[in-house]
Amino acid sequence: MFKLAWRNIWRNKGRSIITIAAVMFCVIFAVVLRSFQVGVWEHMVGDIVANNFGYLQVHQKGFWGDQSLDLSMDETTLDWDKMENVPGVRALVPRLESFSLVSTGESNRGSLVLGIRPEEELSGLRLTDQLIDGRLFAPASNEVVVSQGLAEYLHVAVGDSLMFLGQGYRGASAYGQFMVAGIAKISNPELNKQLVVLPLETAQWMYNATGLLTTVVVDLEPNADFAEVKAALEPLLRSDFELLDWEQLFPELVQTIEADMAGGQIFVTILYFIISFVLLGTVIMMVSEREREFGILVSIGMRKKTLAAVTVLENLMLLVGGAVVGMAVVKPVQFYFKYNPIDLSGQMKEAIEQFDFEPKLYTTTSFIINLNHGAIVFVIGVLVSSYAVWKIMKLNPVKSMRA
Amino acid sequence: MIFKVAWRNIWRAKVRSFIVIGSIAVGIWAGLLIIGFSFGMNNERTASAIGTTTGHAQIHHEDFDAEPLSTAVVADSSTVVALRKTVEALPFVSGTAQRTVLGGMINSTKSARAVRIMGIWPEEERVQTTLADYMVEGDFFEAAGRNRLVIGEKLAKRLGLKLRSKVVLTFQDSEGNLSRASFRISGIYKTLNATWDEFHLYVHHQDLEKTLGAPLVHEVLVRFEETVDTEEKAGALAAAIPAGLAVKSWKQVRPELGFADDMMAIMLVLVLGIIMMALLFGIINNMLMAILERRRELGMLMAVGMNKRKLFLMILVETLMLGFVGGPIGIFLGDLSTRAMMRIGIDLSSKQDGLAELGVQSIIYPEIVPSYYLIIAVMVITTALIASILPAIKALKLNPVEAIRGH
Amino acid sequence: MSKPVIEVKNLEKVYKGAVPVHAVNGISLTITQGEFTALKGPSGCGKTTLLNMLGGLDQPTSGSIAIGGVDITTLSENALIDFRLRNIGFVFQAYNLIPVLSAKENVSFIMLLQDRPKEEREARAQQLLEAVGLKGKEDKRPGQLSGGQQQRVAVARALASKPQFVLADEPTANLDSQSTANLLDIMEQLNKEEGMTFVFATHDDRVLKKARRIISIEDGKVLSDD
Repeated sequence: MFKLAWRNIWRNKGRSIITIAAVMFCVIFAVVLRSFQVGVWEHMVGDIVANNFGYLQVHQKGFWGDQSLDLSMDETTLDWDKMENVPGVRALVPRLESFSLVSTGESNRGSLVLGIRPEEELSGLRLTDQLIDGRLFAPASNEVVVSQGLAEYLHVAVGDSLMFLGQGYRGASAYGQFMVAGIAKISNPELNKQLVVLPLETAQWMYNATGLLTTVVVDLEPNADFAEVKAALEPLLRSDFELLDWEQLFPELVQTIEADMAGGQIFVTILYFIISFVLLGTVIMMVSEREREFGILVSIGMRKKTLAAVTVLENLMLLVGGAVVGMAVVKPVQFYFKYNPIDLSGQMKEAIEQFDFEPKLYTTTSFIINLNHGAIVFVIGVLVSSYAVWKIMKLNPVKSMRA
Repeated sequence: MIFKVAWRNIWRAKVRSFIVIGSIAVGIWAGLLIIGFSFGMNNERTASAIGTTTGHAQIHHEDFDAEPLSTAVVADSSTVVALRKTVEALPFVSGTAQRTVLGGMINSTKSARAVRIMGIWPEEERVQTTLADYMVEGDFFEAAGRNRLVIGEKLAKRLGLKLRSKVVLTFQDSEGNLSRASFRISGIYKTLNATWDEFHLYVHHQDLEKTLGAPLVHEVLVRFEETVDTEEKAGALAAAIPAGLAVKSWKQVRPELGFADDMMAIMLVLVLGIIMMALLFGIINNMLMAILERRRELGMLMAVGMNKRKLFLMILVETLMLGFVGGPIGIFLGDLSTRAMMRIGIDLSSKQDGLAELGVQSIIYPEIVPSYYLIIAVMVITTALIASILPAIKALKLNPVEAIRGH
Repeated sequence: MSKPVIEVKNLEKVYKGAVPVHAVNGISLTITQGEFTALKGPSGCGKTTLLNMLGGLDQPTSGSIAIGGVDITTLSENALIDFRLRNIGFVFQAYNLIPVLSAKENVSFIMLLQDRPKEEREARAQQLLEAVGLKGKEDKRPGQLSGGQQQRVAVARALASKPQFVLADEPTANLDSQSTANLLDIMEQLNKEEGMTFVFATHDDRVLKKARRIISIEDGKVLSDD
């Protein structure tokens, strides 16, 4: 039966080519669009969220909503060993985050102040790799590293001093004077404009929060499932702590992504819809072309069901074949843009800076997209072939042969 | 008569023709919905931004840049008055408002944030912007009082602030000294753009002058009569004011809005183009089949003496006819459904917060954009023309003798 | 009166292949105005090929065909198409008409191709259809006419272009005897009254009986001619 279907395809090359071309066009476009959409999302989550903020964070309950220093955790109340041993956990990153007015005397800006242990940090905050001037601060010193955007705004260079003015733990005044040891370019554009990094212990001292942490970021192994790790960590935490995954940390981001993806999905659906019409057209073409032949086959004894099956098979082979070829064509494109994203920064710099991600378009090489679209084409093929089946079942051999 | 023949030929194969015409109609219908939706979303966002926050243009000192330097004032008070008179005399300007703009920090009992402090003249602000319409709690400097602060909802939530909460603002005066002042929340506003709400506070200019000394005007907001040709008008505005001052149109103040406009236009043309390409397949398919079916007839015509040009024309016209039927149907459907949705609106409130980050409202009212009807018509015609080429070539290649004999 | 309409000299048509086929193997003949001539012969004898070449639908391998003094073997493809339009009328065995046009529109159509003005087209179409006995049926489409009626419209159409002669390729093959008789009568009438030259390719005896000159073709050569 396969043989028959296969040979039939080659009988009418023109029609087959159009069918395949139509399917390929649709599939290529759909897959490319979705690849870019999912790719940008994946990149955003993987590179920006995970590398700077982490997939999972532990706080005192309510900290993330309030961002108040008063809701900090005592370092000793965390079960570090047990937590590190949870499968999938690569490291636990302690941080003290707060806000202060950072001033040079002439200019000032409110900035995010991050107290960290640099060696233990997430890859997005591996300052030594991101320094563009100077060096990393010495541990427990009065030195800081300033983000590039902030340094430019305040007109500070390595060696200058900065004053910090803010609010400490339980209302104490937080004041400090520090020297700029280095300037770093942070990958996240938003952070790059307003971040100062200093040793954890120094931050704790300045904010009158010795031994306290606002955040513990859970760094995951590359292929770990954050949902699983989350489930495993929850029971290890005190009831007055919260464990948030990145979707809870940035719900607006999730919604933005979803809205954008939905838009893309709608468009792709419309496209498939239109192409279905085209495919239906080719099926109708085929049926009327071969009416006579069908009549002959049925009258010499071929069962209608068999004939219908061969026809459906033929259509499916054409459609799915076209889809497969289309996807094969797209695969190298997917791979290329995953590692060489389209960089929009040149043209739309200022506009994109308003958004929280780098203006680069990545793709994904996920197979799920391929499967999805292959399945869609398959379903369309079945639906469209049903016209042929219906016609065959209704066939009157004698009439057909006179056609 | 070629038109007659072409028209009647379409209806020879009813099912097939219906399918092609149907697909054209659906494609155009979908295209129009997308267009209406995009325009509705974008225009509302732009209008809201212009109305509530940026105005059509802003005048600053040249050094003001994107970050406020408290020393970069537009001019002293009397010069500002004269300046505003000059600007308001321009025919396309409907009004101006002046503001003090400072960068600083807000401290609540719980937390602190960097903010931009807008010292406004409330009576003017109420006329020139629509911010007063976006209050969710309290009022926009209507009730009397001292040290009143109007804050964005998002920021208030972040800092755990409510109406009548006390806050401390820290900012730099014109000599560079850091000052602190206490304020009380008298109003909470919510615009369509959460990012704006999170960063901008409004206070009465007088309450800043206690610390600053004299009124400092960093920004003059300009409103035009119409949101049309704003770039040219901004240019005209720039020409009318003295040197040392810079004019920014709303697109320059909020580049992401202008960017969205440009992007949208490009995207829509792309969308339509892709839809047309998909339709191309369907039309070519249909015509090829028609030619195949009419092999003998075409052979006869060639034998009898129909020249190539006329034959080509006949096929071309028939292909165009498909577009001429499908096109108007699609436009009609698109128009109708857009009008229907204009009343109901498309509800995206489930994605509200995400959209608010982008400055988009959660219920979108599509718009009718007549200029695109023309664009679509042109695209359909072009597509039909392109689609007719392959079938026409095939037809012309037919050998009359063979065609008639039916081989 | 005996002006030559078609002059054929040493016509040859060879199909290449492993064994070359001489479909037409050296034919010379002359057909003069007013003739009612049939080309006769069994299938495969070359009469169809000859007819096609006479109609300018096929090109010979060698030899010449002059129609009204013009050697059509030298014409370019586009010139040939135009020549056919203005000088040769065709009646085929079937598929003569455009199915979506009425009888009158079909006859008009060919005149439209010749860029004749509307009034002339309308008048002549009406007149010709009446001449072939189809008065009252001008607005019917081919699908609504019998086989014989369709062929008559084809004749009207062939004449509409004012050709030098009409070429008919097995025009009666699909018709019953009554229709055949009607058709032949009309063609004979047109031949006698209008002086229109008719050349048939046929093996239908009924046509051969009416023909005043029969050219027998066999193996690509003229066998007899009377």
